[in-house]
Amino acid sequence: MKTIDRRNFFKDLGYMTGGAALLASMPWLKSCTPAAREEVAGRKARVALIGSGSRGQYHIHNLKTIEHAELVAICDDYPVNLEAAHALFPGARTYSDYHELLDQKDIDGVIIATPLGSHARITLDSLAAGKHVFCEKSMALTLDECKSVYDAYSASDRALYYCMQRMYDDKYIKGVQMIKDGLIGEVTGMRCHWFRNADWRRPVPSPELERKINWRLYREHSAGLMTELATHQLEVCNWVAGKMPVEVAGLGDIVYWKDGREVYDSVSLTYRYSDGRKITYESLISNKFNGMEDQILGKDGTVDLTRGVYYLEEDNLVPGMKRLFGEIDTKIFAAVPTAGPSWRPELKSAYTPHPIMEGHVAVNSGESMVSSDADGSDKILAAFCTSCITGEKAENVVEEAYCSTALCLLGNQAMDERRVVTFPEEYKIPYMKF
Amino acid sequence: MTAEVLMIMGTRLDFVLPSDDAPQIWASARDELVRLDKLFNRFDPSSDVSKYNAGGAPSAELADAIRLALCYRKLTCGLFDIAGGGPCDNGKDGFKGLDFGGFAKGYALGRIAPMLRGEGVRDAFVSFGGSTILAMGRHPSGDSWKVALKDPYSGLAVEEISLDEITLSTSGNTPAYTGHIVDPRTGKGNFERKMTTALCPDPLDAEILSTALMLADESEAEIMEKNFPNAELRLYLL
Repeated sequence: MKTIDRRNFFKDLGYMTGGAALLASMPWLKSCTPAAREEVAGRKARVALIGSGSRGQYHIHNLKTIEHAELVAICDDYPVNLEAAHALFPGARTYSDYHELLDQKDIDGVIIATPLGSHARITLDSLAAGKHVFCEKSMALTLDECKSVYDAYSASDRALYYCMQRMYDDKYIKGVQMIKDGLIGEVTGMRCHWFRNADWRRPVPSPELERKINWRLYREHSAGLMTELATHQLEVCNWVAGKMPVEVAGLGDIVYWKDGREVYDSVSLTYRYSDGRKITYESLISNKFNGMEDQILGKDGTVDLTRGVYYLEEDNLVPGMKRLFGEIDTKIFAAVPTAGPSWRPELKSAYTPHPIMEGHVAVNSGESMVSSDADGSDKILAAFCTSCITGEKAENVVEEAYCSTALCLLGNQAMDERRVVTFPEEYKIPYMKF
Repeated sequence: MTAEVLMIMGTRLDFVLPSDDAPQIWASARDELVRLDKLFNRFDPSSDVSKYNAGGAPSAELADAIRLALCYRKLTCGLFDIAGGGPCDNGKDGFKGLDFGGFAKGYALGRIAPMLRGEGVRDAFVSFGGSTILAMGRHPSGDSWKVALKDPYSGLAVEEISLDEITLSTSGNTPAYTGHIVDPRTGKGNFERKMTTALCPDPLDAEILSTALMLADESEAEIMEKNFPNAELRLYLL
């Protein structure tokens, strides 16, 4: 009897054995290979945190678990958050002005977790100071800022990461790979949404701090639901499609939370690719029934990457046999994907969910404003720390962040101006395919 | 080309003859399949096996099939056993009568193949739910029939197999359907994440060996290979 062991093929997502194909299509994972881990073993990336609110503090928790990371400094201009973060990591020095922090020679890289409106400025200053940079998503508040950062990064030898954590999330990596391998046939559309039922506010100790603390609600700092939520989901769509939409239309409104906020609490958009495929995107924060889903729709099935499951339109057997009939007619001789353990008719009207991965899969309900467990944020931060040591850039991460941020900002423009917005020539980068 | 589909024996049968003059051949094959389903389907209370399980006398053909199954039990170290208990409708163990699951499809293909040859058919591809595939002759544009074997957990192809005058049978668990192969020694279903294949000139050999292999250890697999020198057996750990 010949035994073929395939259990190790995707162990740890095949970062190693048989992972060459995976690394070719997802090159940013190179810093997660055993070889990369070995290279940094016993060494420390000296990193500093700029912006120590809830997300910054979440990164501190993750840094504590990363062996090759050492947090040397924390910076915030809001003393309450600075003290809270310092309490989590008393060994770190504290700063209230990030320029002063950037002058420190014992810092290899900075982690920026500040409001969106300051991402571009701090990122540009940090790159100019010779630091490697890890910045929260989205990339920046305007397309001009995005382009400035992209150009600066392209001319720099420093590594830059944006926290596009789905690119480092096991179930997304494997799910996208399976889609690219033909699991659900031709991808014909994408449907993403993020629903919550919460006002998106933080308590404010005194009124003059409203805009500083609830920065997400005001346009001087934030582009609202698009750059805070949709950015992750649109990135996944582009990752699957391997190209960028050419145009977007949408409607945005403040439906329920009429509390003086300036950003929409309800958005519905359609992004259209040049071949007619569409992303349907919806977010509403006054009803959470539908939760968060990233659905990739194919001719033969559907993958819900958020939950790590897929559904088949019909069992694979039927498309396999249909293919055989077609190939006999068209005189093609190829292997028919039809052999496997017994197919049984699905008698239920409901589809059967099939897991993308074995074992426990962390699923993000989408309710938390800060984070969820095992969503890839820890892995991408570890990858950044590896880059701080090796000096190697992460392939495609900045490009993916640029693409998804641009789509978010163009979506806002479409909603604000109530018109179909075509992707502007001046913001195209070589990475983009349309 | 003749391409026919029949829902039978708990699955879907695909019947493909590249030649055009086959409607009568399909009609005879279909009649035979329906007849055999009536013989072996334990979920049909009026079938021969149901009557036997309820205490009736076996029909002559059922008695022959039982004798044949007993021979296979010996040749598979007792791992293939129609009396070993089978999964109930709800997938749980506990059925106590004779169960010809893992036998009937191979037996049926073993009857269909000579019928087709007798009618002068050279090329045919007959698949029971993808798990038991009889390949006669060749694809009209190739030198054999070629299938990709799929890992039911990932949906990805694990191997391409050329089939030439042979039957490929596959057994295994799937995400949606697991534990359905019952170990006659323990009465418990097998829940391991694995898949087995058997390539044999005889369709019944193929079906029985792929099922038995799901329960076999290495030495039992070796014995089966000795007992069936024409069989090619494989185990896939998924």
